[in-house]
Amino acid sequence: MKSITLQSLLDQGQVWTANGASLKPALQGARSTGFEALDAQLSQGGWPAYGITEIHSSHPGQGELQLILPSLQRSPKLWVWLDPPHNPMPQALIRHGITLSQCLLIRTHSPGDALWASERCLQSGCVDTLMSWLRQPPNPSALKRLQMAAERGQALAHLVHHQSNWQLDAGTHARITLHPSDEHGSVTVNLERQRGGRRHAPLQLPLLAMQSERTPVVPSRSAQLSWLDAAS
Amino acid sequence: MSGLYLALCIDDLALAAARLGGAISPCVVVDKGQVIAADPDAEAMGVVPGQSADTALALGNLRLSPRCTATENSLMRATADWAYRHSSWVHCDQERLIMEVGGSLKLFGSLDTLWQRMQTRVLQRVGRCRMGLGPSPAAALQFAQLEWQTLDIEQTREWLPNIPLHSLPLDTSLLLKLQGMGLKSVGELLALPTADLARRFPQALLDYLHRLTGRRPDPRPLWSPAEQFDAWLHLQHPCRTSTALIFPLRHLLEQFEDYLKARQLQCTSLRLGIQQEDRSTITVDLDLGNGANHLNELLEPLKLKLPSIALSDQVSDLHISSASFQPWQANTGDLMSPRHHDTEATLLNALRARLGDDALQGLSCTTDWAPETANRIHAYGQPSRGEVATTLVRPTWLLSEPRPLSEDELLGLHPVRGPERIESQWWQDKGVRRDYQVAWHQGTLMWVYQDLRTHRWYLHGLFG
Repeated sequence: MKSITLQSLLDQGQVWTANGASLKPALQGARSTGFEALDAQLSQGGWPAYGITEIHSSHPGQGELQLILPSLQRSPKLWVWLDPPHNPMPQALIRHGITLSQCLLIRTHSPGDALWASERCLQSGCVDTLMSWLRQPPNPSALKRLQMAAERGQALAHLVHHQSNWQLDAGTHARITLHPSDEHGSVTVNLERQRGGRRHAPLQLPLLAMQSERTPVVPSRSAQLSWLDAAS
Repeated sequence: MSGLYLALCIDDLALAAARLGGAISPCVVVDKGQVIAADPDAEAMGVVPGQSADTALALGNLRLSPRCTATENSLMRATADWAYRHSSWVHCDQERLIMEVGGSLKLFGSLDTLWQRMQTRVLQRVGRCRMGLGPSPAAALQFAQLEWQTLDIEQTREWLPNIPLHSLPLDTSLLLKLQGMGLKSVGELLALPTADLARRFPQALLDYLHRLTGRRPDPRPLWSPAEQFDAWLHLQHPCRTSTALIFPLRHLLEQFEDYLKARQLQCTSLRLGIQQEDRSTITVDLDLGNGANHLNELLEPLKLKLPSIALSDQVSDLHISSASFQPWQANTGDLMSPRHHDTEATLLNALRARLGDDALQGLSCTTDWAPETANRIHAYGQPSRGEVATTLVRPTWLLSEPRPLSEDELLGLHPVRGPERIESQWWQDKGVRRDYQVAWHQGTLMWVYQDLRTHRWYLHGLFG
């Protein structure tokens, strides 16, 4: 019989630990968010390899894309944009190292179609990341279906929304809310809830960092210098 | 080396076509008021081919199925297509099919395997059939008609002289003449000197004997799959709901799959014709994007499409046609993770079928200066003109239409960067002349511009 050790339990992520980040090594397959501070807070050391996360901001343009784009790895699979509030700008995406031919933009006409398309994309196995702007909150059973589809297709879904009254607690891996910060250029990122981890103090991340034109630019791969990297 | 031929006589094609259309047992097929085929259950009731339809109705509680030659023809074509996958020498003549099998014995392992495969598939699709194996096409056909079945090639050679003369496809007068001479079997005829035979009988008899024994080549028109696919199915029970059509459609798509595999193609678009009893036809065009080759790949988009079709009356006939193909590209699965995943083409086909063709969009950009023309959103799958990287600061969200800014909003703007002048096509009136700025507005980073022609301010993008 296989013996159960404390480490094996921790590795499975079944046990919640008070000081999760220090005890548990980063799980394999997790993808870095591009922000070290956020990676440290997330229980898996980054976005999960597959699953569903919820990102909330009061309206579009709060740094939600800056949070997602660095984690889109170069993979042969598709990145699906489902019903985004505006059109993503191809020129800007290229500056973030995104291959346009892998981007699939889907426009649906009804909430039912949007949910169906989300599930179909997630379970297909040929989608890497789904970014979905749903118009109505998915009910718990729909959310469960999405979660199972994501597991089957090994895909990551970011449910981005701009309504404060949604309750998507069950099923999602993490819930992140974005608030404008007093300081220009940074956004308050609040990891409100996550599976297998605990709450942390809100972070200030330079998601909207727009530095002055004369500042010399240090070439860097990190997303902190998001807007200015390529401007040199 | 002499060849080896397999012949099939398909007897119950009319019955098979009716069954494919959903007829249930006891099944009687009538044509012009005459019974032309009856299945065993109906035969047990006393129905035999040749009776009038009224007689058949009087014999029991039956539902007569009208004959549909179009369905029979597509069924026969599909059988020939399937045979074509096993041999390049296929001859199809009405309800008889002859194929050369000697050349590909190694491929099938043994004659036994091929025989089983043939029998199960043909039995499943066209019902009862007689099969025969022989050293020449004519001999194989003869054995099939006599139902002398064996898998032993030597045995067929021994049987050859025993073929009764009256079963040969020759003139009746000639057969009577032979009978008058006391000749009964092919062996007796072959025992006569060739010179005598040639003097006494027409050349046709000698020719046939030589073809039967394989001494003379027997060229026949060979089957090759049609350039376009066409299949027809007449429903014996009219269908009221569009979603229920998937069951009969499955039969047609199975035929289509055989056709595609025989020609090593994949289909890029498919047309489905639904004929209703009020004589109107609904045509559904299905775009399969990168192409589909498997039954399931063909079925899924149809399953998604069917619920959106509004029927005005009951459906009586289904028709599938396709003429746009491309060479088949096989996908190799991952050996290490045998988990079943869709291909990208399957996913796109499914999304297209349910959401419509215009729902899927792709992104590309050009070297143009004006943001509206440089950033293009187009139908997904269109070849893009390459990705042009820019060193300029651009927002991730681009509004589809620039939104005029109100006075209050204008006062709340805190410019951070700019201005960047964009002037395009100044030699034409439609060109733009704008000063773009990046500005803060209540915690949002905006991409705004002042139109230098009208001096009004607009919001054009958001940094997300």
